Amino acid sequence: MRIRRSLALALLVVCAFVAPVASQTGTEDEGSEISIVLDGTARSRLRLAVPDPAGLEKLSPEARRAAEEMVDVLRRDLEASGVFIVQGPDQLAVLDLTGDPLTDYLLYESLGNKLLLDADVIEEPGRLVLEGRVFNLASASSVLGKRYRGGFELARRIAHTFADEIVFYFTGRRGVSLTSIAFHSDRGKSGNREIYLMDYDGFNQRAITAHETLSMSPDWSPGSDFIAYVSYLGGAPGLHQVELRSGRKSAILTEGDFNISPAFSPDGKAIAFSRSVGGGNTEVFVCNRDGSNLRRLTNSRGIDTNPAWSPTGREIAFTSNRSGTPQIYVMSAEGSDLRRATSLGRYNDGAAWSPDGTKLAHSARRQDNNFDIAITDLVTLETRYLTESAPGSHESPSYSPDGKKLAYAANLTSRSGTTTQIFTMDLDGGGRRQLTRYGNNFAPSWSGYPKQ
Amino acid sequence: MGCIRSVLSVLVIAAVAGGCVSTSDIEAIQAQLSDIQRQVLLLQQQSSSKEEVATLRDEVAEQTDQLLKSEAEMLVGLEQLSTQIEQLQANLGDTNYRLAQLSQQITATNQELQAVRSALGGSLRRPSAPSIEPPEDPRDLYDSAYSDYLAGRYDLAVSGFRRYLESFPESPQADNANYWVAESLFSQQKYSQAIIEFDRMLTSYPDSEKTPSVLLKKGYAYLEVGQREQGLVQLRNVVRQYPQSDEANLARQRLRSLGVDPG
Repeated sequence: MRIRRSLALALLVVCAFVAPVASQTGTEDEGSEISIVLDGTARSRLRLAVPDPAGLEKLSPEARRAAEEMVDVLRRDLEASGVFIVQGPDQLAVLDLTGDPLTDYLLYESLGNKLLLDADVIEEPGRLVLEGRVFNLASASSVLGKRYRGGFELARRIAHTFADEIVFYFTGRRGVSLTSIAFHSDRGKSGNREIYLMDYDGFNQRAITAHETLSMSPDWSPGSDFIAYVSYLGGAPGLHQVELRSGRKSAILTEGDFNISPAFSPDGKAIAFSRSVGGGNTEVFVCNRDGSNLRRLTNSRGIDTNPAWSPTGREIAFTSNRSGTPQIYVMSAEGSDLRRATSLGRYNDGAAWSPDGTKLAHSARRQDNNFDIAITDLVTLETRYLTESAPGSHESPSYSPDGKKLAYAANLTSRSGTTTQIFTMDLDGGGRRQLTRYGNNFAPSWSGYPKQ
Repeated sequence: MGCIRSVLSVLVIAAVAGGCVSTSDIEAIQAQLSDIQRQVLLLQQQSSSKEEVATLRDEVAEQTDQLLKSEAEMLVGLEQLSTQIEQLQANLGDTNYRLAQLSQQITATNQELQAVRSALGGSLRRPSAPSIEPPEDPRDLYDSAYSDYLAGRYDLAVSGFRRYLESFPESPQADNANYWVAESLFSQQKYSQAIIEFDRMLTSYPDSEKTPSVLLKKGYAYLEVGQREQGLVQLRNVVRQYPQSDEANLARQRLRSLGVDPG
């Protein structure tokens, strides 16, 4: 069932060649303790050997570079998925491989591996063919086979696609290797802040606005085809959007003193945001995609801001200082039935919903006035801190679409001073990975899954 | 669905690893396996997704063949037993645990399986699969129903909160439980049923702090089903009875947008 699921990637020719996995596993897969990963905890990580592909030395230099990058990305994706512990050429170098598959399987197994990813790379004029098979070492049987063909420039994309396919096979959950992260950065020469995009692993960073003013707070539309953001274009901060395919930009709502922190509703029809109502007071409002049908949801004397829609679209979390300190509240999407979500600490802000709708990630100020990334369970109202042991301040968490990772912005102090950079980490605070390096980078927003 | 396959294959591996097993052990395995198959079939029946059911059925059939084959091998020798059997039993416990987790996952991921929990309550009462049983602790029951509401599993939320109301009618949380029943129905756009539940709240818990929200949502529900006059009455009620509340502000705004003086 899984393997037959087709990948509609316009530029890739994809075909499954090792066959009907579903029926094969029934008769030949006795040794299989695999695909029992239900929660992705360290306990259930699978060891997977990924040696360099055969035939590398036969490739042209350009093809070889692409092929090496492809396998490198594949290893990183599989390791980052939290499902596998990957052994690459460095760890496998101790083995005296014979070239006889059955003997070599035993050797791979001797290092604790349960699985082997055996890849072949073939060069065709101007493009690469990747043939990858995953073997269950205990039963010496192939459990998954795929063939991808594409230009050298698609090496990373092919690797991401294959990695997600493998993750899906073993977990039933879509991998996030093909997702993107939006953020804003001052890295340009003028120091203006523009909206940027990057792949989930930090590659392929590019600006998608050039307003040459302050642009910030990107938020993805549910189909990952638009990004709403705030820009000072025209003088006052207003809501704008960009269609990613065409690059076309349009204003959503610019009248009023300011309109900030847009958040798409899960059905994509509405945008919640924070709007000045005068006298230093901001309230949470909702409008349609085109700025029409403006409705006010909150009424407090204090600041109400940073709305975030729950995945069901029935709740909105936001930050309010109505109690005297900034805390996170949840209300129904109509604005009624207010409930306070955070109670620990004197400053909680920037809520992001977990994809299952039961938790909020947010920033929480600690004793030294730096911020931690925290997760508050909306059912038990218990709060867990993820970055307590790390120096510096951590803000603006955003969940990956599978709910397994958070992107966030954190201070980084080096010899040249302190900058803010974007990182990702696992939900236990481990597996931290720095994605940006130039200028200051803020407000990451993780996309949903790309359309299939 | 592949998870079911692997759960079953864990069983088979365990059996193969055991090597030689006595007849009674095999019977025990068979009993466990057919039990698991029953559970899988039960889950299938509750799924209306035909493709998944068909795939599952094929997989179960394959696993059965495989087990029979393994049994034949096992009957060859009846000597070394004990440690492997312990291992096998541990694996079976693990399998049951995973099956329980699996059934929860199916519950969570398949909107069409929303009726599954109440049905499972009666038929899957096994000491080794505690997580399938309905929680009896009031807090657990309430929390799991609220999780279901937050996750958008509204049918489960409604049945969970109703069970809570039946089991713990005097609880200080009872008004909230009733509110979430109504809100779940409202979220499913079952406005007429939501109105009945909002009314029940107003009658049963007149002093609930949720009352302004109930009046407002009841008004919205009437507007949704096209009963404008009833809707306006409810919205005016909120403004009159709770003029200082957030809900009164929302009601005033809605009345104005309908071209009505909020008074």
